[in-house]
Amino acid sequence: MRKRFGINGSTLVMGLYLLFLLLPIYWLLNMSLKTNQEILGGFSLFPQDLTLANYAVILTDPSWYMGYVNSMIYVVELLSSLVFEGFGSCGDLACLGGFDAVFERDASDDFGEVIKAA
Amino acid sequence: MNKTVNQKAWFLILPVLALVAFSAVIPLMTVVNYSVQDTFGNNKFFWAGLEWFDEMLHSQRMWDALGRQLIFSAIILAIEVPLGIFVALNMPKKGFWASFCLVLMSLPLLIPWNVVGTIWQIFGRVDIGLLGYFLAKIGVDYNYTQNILDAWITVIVMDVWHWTSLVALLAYAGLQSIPDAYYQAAKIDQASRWAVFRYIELPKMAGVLMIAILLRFMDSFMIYTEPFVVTGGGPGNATTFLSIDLVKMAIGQFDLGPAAAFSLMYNLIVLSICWVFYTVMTQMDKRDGV
Amino acid sequence: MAKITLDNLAHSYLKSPKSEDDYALKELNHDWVDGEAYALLGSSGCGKSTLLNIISGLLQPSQGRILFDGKDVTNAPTAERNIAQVFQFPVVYDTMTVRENLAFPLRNRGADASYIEARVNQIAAMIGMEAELGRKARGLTADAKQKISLGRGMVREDVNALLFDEPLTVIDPHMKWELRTQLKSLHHEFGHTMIYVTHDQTEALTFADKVVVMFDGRVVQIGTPQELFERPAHTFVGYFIGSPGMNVMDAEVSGRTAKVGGVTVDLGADYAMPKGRVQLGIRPEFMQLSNDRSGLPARVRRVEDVGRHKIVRLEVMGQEMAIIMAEGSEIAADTDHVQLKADAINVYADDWRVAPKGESA
Repeated sequence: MRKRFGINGSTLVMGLYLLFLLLPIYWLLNMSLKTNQEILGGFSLFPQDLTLANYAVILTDPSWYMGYVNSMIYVVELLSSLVFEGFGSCGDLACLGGFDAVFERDASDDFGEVIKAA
Repeated sequence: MNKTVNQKAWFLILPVLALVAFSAVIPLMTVVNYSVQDTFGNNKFFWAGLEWFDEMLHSQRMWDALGRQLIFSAIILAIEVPLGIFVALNMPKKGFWASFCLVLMSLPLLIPWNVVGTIWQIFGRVDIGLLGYFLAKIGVDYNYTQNILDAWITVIVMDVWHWTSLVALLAYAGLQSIPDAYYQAAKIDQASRWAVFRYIELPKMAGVLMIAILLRFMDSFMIYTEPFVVTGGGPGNATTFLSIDLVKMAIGQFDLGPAAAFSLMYNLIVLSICWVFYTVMTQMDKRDGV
Repeated sequence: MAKITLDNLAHSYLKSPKSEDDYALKELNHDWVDGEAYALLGSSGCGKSTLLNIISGLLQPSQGRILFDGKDVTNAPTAERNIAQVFQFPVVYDTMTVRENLAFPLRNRGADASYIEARVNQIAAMIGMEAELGRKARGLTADAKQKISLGRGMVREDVNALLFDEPLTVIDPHMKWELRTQLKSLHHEFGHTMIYVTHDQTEALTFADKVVVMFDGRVVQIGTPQELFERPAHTFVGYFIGSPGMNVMDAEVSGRTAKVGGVTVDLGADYAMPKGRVQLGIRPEFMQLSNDRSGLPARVRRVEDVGRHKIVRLEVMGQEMAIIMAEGSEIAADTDHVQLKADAINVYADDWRVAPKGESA
């Protein structure tokens, strides 16, 4: 229903933009499949000798994969501490009744007992 | 209905408070501590008052870095916001191609920032980088390590590559929220494409765009890893932005005092600009209310 | 103003429709008379918005043609058809003032500034918004915005038809009445062809000269509110119009009488022998309770007092029915039958009304 510059204009714009975005990533992928010598030896758009040796290295060499392990530990710790904090505090109460609900209670409110007990 | 206020509820936030205190307040107080002290070494500190702040405010180096930073942020905003809007206007609205474009556009956003720097550092090299190689091939004298203009262009293009998708995605979300009836009415009113953009799309996207501008400004103002990995702040100090300068001071020269003062002022500048944005946004919201 | 003709029009949202069910709008031939106010009435999803969008050009029909004053506009874009449409959501340009909003369509056509000024003032007077001309359109109430939408539609003098797609849905109930009245008076004064889509029968019956009832993508009846009430051409029309709707019961019809669950009912006219699923329809207003063993056996289940009248819910031979009785009337405790007024009975075969012999079309 809405035609901007016609189908072709939009497709061209998107195509160029996506190409711009993908070029460096393609180059990264390209280099990851080349050996160090090949990279430094000469310039080529595709790897002459396609190799997965680089991937093997990062998965087997501790100095590489420990980075991943540390990141995972960090993320898991961060997430679990947030979850703990969320459940152990007024987070859930506020979620259920809103901020006002936490502070103002009728004698008849269900959660009044929790506050009275606190 | 009488609702009694029970102050005991404040106790419920103790865990959060503890966590925030540990992770945010204490480091902040440490920095403040450093900013008002001086040392002769051997971990002995004495009170120096506002001496560091004074030195910072008169430091030509700091003002240079601030200037560079502001120019950088301004250029970034001037390129990324219009480009992001333009891309959002051209994105397919629904169907397979919409998802396709969304996924591909998100790729640069997911890459760790120092990897972005690494990618572009190699990308721009004349011997092994696609960009550098082809520029040299067509005769352009491109060297981002030695030429100031080339370094700036590289850093800017890298940031545009990295972050325009964010602006585009936010603008796209804003566009999607416009009901079809508006476009239909515009058709009936025989509005031109530009009028549709100016009177329907832009006003409706305004809220989302404010957020996008705020985010991009803050991030570009605090940028560190990407330019550092590519140019190291060079050539000379041509691309030494505020945060790079700060780190050089703190870690390179171990001038903790000035660095702490600097970082507090840095924080203040960011906060005050955020406050300005916040005020503008709430004013806009107030205007929108009936 | 123009006469709108629908020629063999049908529409399917699917690319290759196989059966009739795939069509959102089934084949339709109709002339919309110039200058009349029509209501398109039907429940949600019956195709009325589809039809409206085809008329306005926002949707291309998959089959058939549409003609304005004899000219084929099926492929003409919306802008060329010179229609105005008011949508369910008030569409105003927030950044402009009311005056600029009203002037927008004229400015886009490149009209002369003094002409625009005169026209805007005229329209503002018509919709009663002269005082707000200088205000920003942003913070206005929903009904004010709808008035602006209406004004924007009418500001062009050569508008062929005004189309309304459930425009009062978002309006507060007490403003609905006022806006409806205003629309009606505008119609009387200027005589535009108006097509008003709604699912609210009160709106349709009070606004329109002629009501077009749609059901399942098909136009089932076109007539004045009176005709729709007394002689519904389809059981859906009977059910949809009136509150409560028509009572429908299965029957065997032969000639002047019908047998309903073994009880003979007089029909008041000769219906011959209709084929298919035969039903009798009668409105709650035309039934009466009795306790003298004439009519259909009935049991009173409950009585709802609506203020102006009473609705008596009955169970008649296993089926629930309703009758309407006057306010303050008594219901005898030994009521066990209900009588049907013979000349108010309609006979339906496969949901469509069967005309009795001798009835003029």
